[in-house]
Amino acid sequence: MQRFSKLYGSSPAHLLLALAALVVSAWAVLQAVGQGPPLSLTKWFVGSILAHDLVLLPLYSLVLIGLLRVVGGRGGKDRAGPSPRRLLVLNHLRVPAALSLLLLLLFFPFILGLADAGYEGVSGLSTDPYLPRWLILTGALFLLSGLILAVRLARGGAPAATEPSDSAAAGAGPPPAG
Amino acid sequence: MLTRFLHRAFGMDPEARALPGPQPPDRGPFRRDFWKSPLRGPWLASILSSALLPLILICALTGFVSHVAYDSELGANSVTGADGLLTPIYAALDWPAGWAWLYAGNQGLHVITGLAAIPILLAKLWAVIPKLWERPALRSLAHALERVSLALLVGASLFVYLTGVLNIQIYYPFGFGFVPAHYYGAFIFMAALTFHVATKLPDLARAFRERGVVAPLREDRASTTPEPPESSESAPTAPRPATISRRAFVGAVGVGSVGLGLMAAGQSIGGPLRPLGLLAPRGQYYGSGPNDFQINKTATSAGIMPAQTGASWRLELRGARTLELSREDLMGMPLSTQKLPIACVEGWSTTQTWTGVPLRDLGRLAGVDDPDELFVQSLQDAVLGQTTLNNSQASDPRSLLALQVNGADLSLDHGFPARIIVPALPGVHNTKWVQRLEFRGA
Repeated sequence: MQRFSKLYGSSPAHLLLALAALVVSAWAVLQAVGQGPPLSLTKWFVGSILAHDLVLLPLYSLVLIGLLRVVGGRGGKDRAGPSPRRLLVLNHLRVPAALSLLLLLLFFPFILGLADAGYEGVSGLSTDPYLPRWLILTGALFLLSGLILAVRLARGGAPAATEPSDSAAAGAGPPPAG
Repeated sequence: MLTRFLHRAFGMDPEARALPGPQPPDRGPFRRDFWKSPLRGPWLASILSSALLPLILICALTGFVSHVAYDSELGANSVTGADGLLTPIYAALDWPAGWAWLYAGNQGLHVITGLAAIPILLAKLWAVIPKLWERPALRSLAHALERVSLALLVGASLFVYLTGVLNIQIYYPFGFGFVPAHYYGAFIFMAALTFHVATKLPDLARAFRERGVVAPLREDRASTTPEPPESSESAPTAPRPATISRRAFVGAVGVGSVGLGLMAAGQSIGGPLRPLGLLAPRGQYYGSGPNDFQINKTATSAGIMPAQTGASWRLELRGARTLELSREDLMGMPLSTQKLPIACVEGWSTTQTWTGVPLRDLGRLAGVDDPDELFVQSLQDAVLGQTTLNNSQASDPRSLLALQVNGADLSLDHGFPARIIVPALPGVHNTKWVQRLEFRGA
C-alpha cells in the first residue's frame, strides 16, 4: 500500500476513479466519431482549449494591464499604485465593459449578423434587432454603473487618504489581470 | 525501475513532491511570481465552484432527460445515432405525456443553467490559470492523470458550452453534427468532472473552513489580502495590491450569470416575460394575430410547396384499415380544444390554444384502440420529417392532430393543413404538415 502510494503518488481509489473517467471519455469519443468527422471534432475540442487558455485569457489580462497603466501607477518601486479614487472609476468602467464583451462573446453570431441565413429560415425573423439591442444593453450597463459610481463618490466612497502600499514588495513586473 | 524510468522520461520525481531539486530557472508564466493578482487562491476557486457545480449538474441532468424525451429507441427518433451500451436504459425509460409543461420546463432549465454557468466558468478558469503553467509539469503518475483529466474537463466544458451557444443561434461553423457532438461531449465533461470533484472536494472544504464561506465577501478592496502562497498553486507568491475586491469580482460574475439566466428564462416562460430575452434567440415578438408566435422552421425552408397543402391534400390513416381524409372530413369530426406548449430543445417555448381531432379518435377510426406506437410522416423531407410516438403520447386525450390555433386556421409556417400537438413532447416531434398517421400494434 505504501509502496503503491510512493510509486503512483496517491491512493488506489484515486487511480480507479481516474481510470473510470478515462474509460467513459474514451467510450464517448468512440461513439462521437462514429457520428461526425473525427478531425473536425478534435480540432474544435483542442481548439477551444487553446483559444481560451492562450488567446482569450491572455488578451483580457493584457487589456487590464494596459488599463491599469493608463489610470496611473505601475505598482513599481518608484510610484505608488493608482489612487483609490481612480481605481473606483476604473472598476465602474471595466465591470460594464466586461459584461458587454461577455454578451458579444456569446451572441456574436446574432450581433454581427453571421447567423442571419440560418436564423431566418428557422424562425422567419431577421437578426437585425440584435445589434441595436446589444448596443442599448451596453449603454444601459455603463449608465447604471455610472449612476452607482456617482452615488458612491458623492458619499465619499473612495477616501483620498493614502492606503498602505505594498507595491514595493510586489516586484517591478507588470501587474496582470485582477 | 519504474521510478528511474519516469524520472528519465518525464523529469518526474516521485520522491520530491512539493519542492523539486535545483532546476534551470523558469521563465514567464512558468514562474509563480508572474501571476500577480491577489484575488486568486483556494477561496475564490471554491466559491466559484460552489456556484458552478449545481448549475452544471442541473444542465447535464436536463440534457440527459431531453435525450429520454426523444424516445430514441422508437422508429427513426434518434438524433445521436445508436445508443450502444446505453440502449437498455433508454429503452426502459418511456417519456410520459402526463405533465404538459415537463419538456418546456426541462429545456428551459437546461438553457437557463447552461447560459448562467458560462460567466462563472470563465471566472473559474481565470482563477486557476496559474495551474496550467505549474512547474514541475508532472510530479507523479497520479499528478499526470489529474492533468490529463483536467485537460478533458476544460476542453469538454468549453466544447459543450460553445456548441450549445452556437446551436441556439442556428450558427454552425463546424463540420460535424451538433447533437451527437454536444451529447457525447457531455459524457466526457461529466466523467472528468466526477473525478475532479472527488479529488478537489477536500480542498474546497479546507478553504471554506479556514476562511469562511462568505466572510471574504465582507472585505472591501482596501482590506482584500492575498491568500497564503502555500495554500494552493493558484495563490500568488508575489501579489500586487488589489485593484478590485473579491466581493466586486464575484458580484460582477454574479450579475453576468443572473442576467444571462433571466434572458433565457424570458424566452422559456414567454408571454409577458418574453421581452426579458433581449439577446435570447427567441426573445422577439411576431405580432398580435392568432398565428403570430414562434416558428421553428418556416414552410419555405422546409421545402413545403403550397400545391402540396391545397385542396388535393389528404391525410392517409393506417391501422387495422386504411383510409384517406380531406381537411373538410377532419373538420367535420368532433373537435377538441387544448391549451398546450410547444417547447424547443433550444430552450424556448410558447403556449397556444389548439383545436383539432384527438389522436385517440383517429386511432379508433383506423381500428386501433390502444396503439403501441404511432408513426407520423410529414410532407417535409428531412431527418425529423417523421416521428414515432409512444403509447402514452398517442392515447392521451389531449393529444391532437391540430387544424386550428387560437380560433384561426393554422398558417402554412405552423403546419397547415394539420400538425401534431402532444403534451410534453419535444418541439420537433410535434410534426407539421402531416401526411400520414400509422397506428401500430394492439
